[in-house]
Amino acid sequence: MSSANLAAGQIQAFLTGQTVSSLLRALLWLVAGIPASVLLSRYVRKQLLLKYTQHQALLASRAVLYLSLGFVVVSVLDELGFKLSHLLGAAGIVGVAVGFASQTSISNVISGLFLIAERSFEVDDVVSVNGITGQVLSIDMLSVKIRTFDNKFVRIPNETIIKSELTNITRFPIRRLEIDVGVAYKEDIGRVRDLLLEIARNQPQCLNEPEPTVVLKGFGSSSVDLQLLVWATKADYLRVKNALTEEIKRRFDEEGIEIPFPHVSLYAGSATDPIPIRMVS
Amino acid sequence: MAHSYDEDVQPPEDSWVRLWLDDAQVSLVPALPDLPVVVRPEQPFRLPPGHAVELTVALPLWVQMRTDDSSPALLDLATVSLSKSWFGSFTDGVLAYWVHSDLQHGDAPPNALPHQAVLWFRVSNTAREILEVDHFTIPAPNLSLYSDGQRFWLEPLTLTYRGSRLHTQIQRRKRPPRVAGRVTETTPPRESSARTFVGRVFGRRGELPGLGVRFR
Repeated sequence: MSSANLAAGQIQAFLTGQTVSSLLRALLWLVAGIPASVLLSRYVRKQLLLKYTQHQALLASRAVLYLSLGFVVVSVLDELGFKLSHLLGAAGIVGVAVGFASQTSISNVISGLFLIAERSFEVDDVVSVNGITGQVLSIDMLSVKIRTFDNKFVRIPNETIIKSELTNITRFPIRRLEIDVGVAYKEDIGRVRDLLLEIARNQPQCLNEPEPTVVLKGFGSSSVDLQLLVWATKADYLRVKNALTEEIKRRFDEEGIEIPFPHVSLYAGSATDPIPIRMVS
Repeated sequence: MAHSYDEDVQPPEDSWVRLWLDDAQVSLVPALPDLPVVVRPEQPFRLPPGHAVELTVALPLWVQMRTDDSSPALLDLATVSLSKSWFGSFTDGVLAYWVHSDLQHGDAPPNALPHQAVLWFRVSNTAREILEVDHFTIPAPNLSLYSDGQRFWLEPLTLTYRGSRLHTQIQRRKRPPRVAGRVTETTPPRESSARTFVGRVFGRRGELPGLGVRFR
């Protein structure tokens, strides 16, 4: 008997009526189960979004997706005649092998669980990690997806975030913004301070409480350095910063308050005399 | 706060709103502010334990444009531009409008401009400590607006201070204040609430320092 005939005979023996029906059922589980899991996960997310935050809806829908996919896989294996108890036994041995092979991935998965449990940030928060600042789109099994403000998509592995310093910029509802202002030494500091506070109070988006404050930072090389501290909601932060900077420049020009730029005084050997000029020709 | 009106000054281009309506009649309805209002009296006051005081304060009104009572407002505009404030802690609180106003005794005829509504309220101090009031918040979105034909009135309130560790009890009173005439409801509350509820009402000076840190 040729080897081709032998193989055909073995396939024929394998494909009994019961085996074919098991294969078909397994295929049906795969074909129907995977799209059903995805649809169920999407439905759960849509429904939860009506009542809960984006972050909570995303986490719950992911849990539903992974559980239902796990159920589909177990059902497929069951149809193919694999016993769950045997699989779990084998999983121990396979787990060690896979664990060594995919240390990074497993580390990311575990880091992801810590990130979710710690709740340092949520979906839609604006965070800064390793110099990358953007809005969190999703917290996934292996990575966190971020949209930067110039519309780049950044994927940061969960492990990197766990190991790095992370700043959540929008965690708290209000933020303090700092505007550095330098004025000439000849200016009356009290008058400048009052003017800065008046500018802040006249800006409607600038919060009255916590109240605007002016800090005298020190004497710079060419200016007296002040800092205007004002509070705004996180939504108004940039708008207030732009509006205040523009208004400070306008009011200082109007009031004749000099904002100096670095300049150099040439010393000609005498504290009061002007620099001597001699006509050569 | 000084406000002036100049007929020659045109509103900014982006403030115009174009509406397309199907032969519908529109009406302009007075309304209360869409956020709580933090009132800072010209003069802070203290209320000893066991004492109560009845006061009035004038709050600016909003104007809504509606096609009918049940439809959402097509426009919702403040009659005066108010600055904003934060009421609460650095990590948790509410956004509110900020109003500098003079408080009047509750029995005195209220001093309110046409674009303002008068709130009559009673503050009672049931705590064992002195109540120091630098500013206080009015839950304007939870209150109804009334009119007696002469002026607008807010639903009267009773504010019961129970100590700095407890929230203040806020009770919406059904009866209009004595100084008001016969009133009818003009606008229902923007947000529904129980007739009696609790919340932070009174604030002390320097509670939220601008530096973001409190030195003790």
